[in-house]
Amino acid sequence: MSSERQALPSRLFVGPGGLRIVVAENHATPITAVAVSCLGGVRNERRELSGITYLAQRMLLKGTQLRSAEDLAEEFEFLGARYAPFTSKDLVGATLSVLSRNLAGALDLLAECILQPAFLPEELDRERRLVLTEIQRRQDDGFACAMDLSEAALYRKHPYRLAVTGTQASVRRLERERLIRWHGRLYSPDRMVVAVVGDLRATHMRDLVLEAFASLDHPRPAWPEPKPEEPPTSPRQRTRRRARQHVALALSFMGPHFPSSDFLAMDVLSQVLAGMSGRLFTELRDRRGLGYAVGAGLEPRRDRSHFGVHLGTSLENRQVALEALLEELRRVRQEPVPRQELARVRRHLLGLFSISLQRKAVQAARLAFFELMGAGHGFLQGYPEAIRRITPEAMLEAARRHLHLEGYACGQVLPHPPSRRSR
Amino acid sequence: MPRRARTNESPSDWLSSARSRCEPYTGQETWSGLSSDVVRRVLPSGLRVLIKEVYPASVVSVAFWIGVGALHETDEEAGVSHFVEHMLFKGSRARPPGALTREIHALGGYVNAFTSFESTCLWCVVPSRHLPAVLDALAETVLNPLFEPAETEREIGVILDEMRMRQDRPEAWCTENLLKLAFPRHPYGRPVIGLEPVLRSMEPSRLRRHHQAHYVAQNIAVVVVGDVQAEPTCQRIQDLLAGLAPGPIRPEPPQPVLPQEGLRRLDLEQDLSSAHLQMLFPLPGLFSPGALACDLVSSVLGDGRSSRLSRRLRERQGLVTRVGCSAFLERGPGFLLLDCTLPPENLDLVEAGIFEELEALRRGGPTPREMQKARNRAQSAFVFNQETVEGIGRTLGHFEMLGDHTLADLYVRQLAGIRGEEVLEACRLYLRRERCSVVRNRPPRVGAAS
Repeated sequence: MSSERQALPSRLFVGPGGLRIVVAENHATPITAVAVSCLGGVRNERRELSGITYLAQRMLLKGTQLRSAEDLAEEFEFLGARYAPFTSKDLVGATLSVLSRNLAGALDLLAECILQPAFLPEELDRERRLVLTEIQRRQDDGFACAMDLSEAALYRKHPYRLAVTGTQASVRRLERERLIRWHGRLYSPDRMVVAVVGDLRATHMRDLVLEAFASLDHPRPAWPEPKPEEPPTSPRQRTRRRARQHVALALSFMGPHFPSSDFLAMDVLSQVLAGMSGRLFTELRDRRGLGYAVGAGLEPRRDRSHFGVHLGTSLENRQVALEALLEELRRVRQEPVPRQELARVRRHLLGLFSISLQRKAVQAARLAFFELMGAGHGFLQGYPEAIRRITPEAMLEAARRHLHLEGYACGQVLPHPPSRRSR
Repeated sequence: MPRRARTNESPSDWLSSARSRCEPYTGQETWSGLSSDVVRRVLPSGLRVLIKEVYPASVVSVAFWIGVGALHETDEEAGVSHFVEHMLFKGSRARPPGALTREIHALGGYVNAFTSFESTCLWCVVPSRHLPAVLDALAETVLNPLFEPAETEREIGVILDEMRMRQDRPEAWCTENLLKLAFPRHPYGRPVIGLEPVLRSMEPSRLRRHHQAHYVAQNIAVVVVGDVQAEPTCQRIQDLLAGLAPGPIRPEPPQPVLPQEGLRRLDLEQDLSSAHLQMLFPLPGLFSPGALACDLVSSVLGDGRSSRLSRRLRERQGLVTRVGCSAFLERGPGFLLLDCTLPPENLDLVEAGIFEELEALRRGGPTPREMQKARNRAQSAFVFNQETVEGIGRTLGHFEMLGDHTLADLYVRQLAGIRGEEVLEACRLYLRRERCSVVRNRPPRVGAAS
């Protein structure tokens, strides 16, 4: 029998326009967490519109039909709330955590931001400038830059190749009217889930959501589906040079879509490789001292999930470290993971899952995510059992199907060669 | 630093004054306090054990806090505390290098460690049923690290790598230089990671001496939080750590902060796209009068989008992508750190804008609403922190190392009682231009030699 933390039972209600509301009672702390999530965003962007979702999302906090940006910030913060809009490749939304006694007020504010943003021209200009600076700043972060480069190289056409923030050129061109139209289409009740986890009665939490989102009562037009894309047939590489001490390198692979049994197998496999007791760290850093930072991770996506590996090393060790890293990936394609190792990794994965569920914000975000992506909100409770069922053979097959060593992309930020390095 | 002498006030003095000033708490209905049901034992050896039973948790956090950090080091040994912390993972009498991490991961948990100016902490979180195994593993690790020459040699390379990677992180590099500028010849002025020449010549014997001197019973607190039973857990800890030398606490060497005559400034250049501007104002230590008012100063200035600096520089003027403010308040001297990321061409404008905002706050003080907002935010943050066993454990351990774990609750309660005039007084005393240190880290100017 397992004593791992089980996610608390959640209930699904369907509101007007198909809005799904998932609620779970959790009385551990006087906190309530809300996750509003909606399918759509970067996955529906074209190159010339790259960054439109992100900028539209940023404008949610920049004033509504009723309140200025300053008043919004003041009111949220006076309530001691934690709140933020988010944009990912597949989803948009916003999260809120607040002392439960302040939930009603904070939830109304959040809904107002999502449903009635004002897109004031002067606020838009300012926010656009800030986004442009952020895009620039991301170039200063070696790993972030390497990851962007590798993902941009992995796809030829699919919108997953586009950076969430957009590019300097595309963001400069986004017009206000366009942003307003885009936002008007983003939040559609039939593609949307609001998950609430708190120490209040489930029906009360549901009613608060229904009230806050009452005006969202009819679906918006569907997005066109992006064309599926196959993995590259040979490795692709993109390089940038900066005056740096270290090499930051990222590899991107097209993984299985979420939810699928291959996804779960790859999830376990990425844990075999990742972390301080994973194969990459043990082999590259502990045993061979080839780099300070090394890791791997699988990001669930609707089309092909993203399997990424990163490495921080010196220029001298770059080639050897990269070969050692690829060798570890080759190994998981060639040999099944020994059962003992699998048992250890599985315990680690499920333990981390239990630990993360202590936070209501994590519970709410996962309930909304699982429900939206087609796994169902109940998957939060079913996840441990699904992971326990994964066998070494299933992992081997998933690795062979998705970890194409001849078809990945590499992004890297390299220091200038020694002769040019400034002292 | 004129306030330095007052930091010698003991935690208990501060506590009694805090208690007498404390107003009734009027926060969340379900407030129960963090320290209310903590079982605290001082074992005959002097080892402190703190256990808080939390239900239903299903996970447990265990932390070993050792009262040694960069403040206890001289220039010649800079980095030794952090190095010993790394070596805890590099083999003990019963565990080969790396085994501790593998063992804890295999139990479904994670383990990590950190070194600060004041403490070293080894901590982990695991599913509760593995508590006995984790206590065994951590106790053995803390008692018996090996410091083998080959592992020490390899770790020198790893730490130097870590050091170089910090230089590639522009904000961290900026802060490191700011502390150096603001606290010359004081341990705050040296990075906790240490100084390269000291690290390069690190010997196992040096590490062993440090371990023997500081990893002693009176200098260690073990903090356990989760669905555990206090009494048997305490007994288990006592048995496991019976071999710990009783040893006295070695006090920090005296480290006066040099007086500051005027504003200090340093300009850095790195291959960057954005610039970073950081400013530091020295503050009194946590146990000085006025320290908590400084926490509210920091909140009013830089906590959240509606704080003064963010509203002006980010929301209204769009001059910075990020601005934040934090008050570092510990047993030793404190400081207020302002931190902005911005396009390089805005550096002058932003610096001037910050000084204007500080001046406005020094003149008029915070509004009653700002005060209430700062209190609300502090109280909410405190409750959020209690969502996880590791959050509770970290807060309890932090305050225990400062002298008393119940300070955790008093800190928040006392914040609720601070008046606007006290915040105004703190601004006038500490936010003075001539006590400020400024570091700007920017891309090289076009045409300038690199």
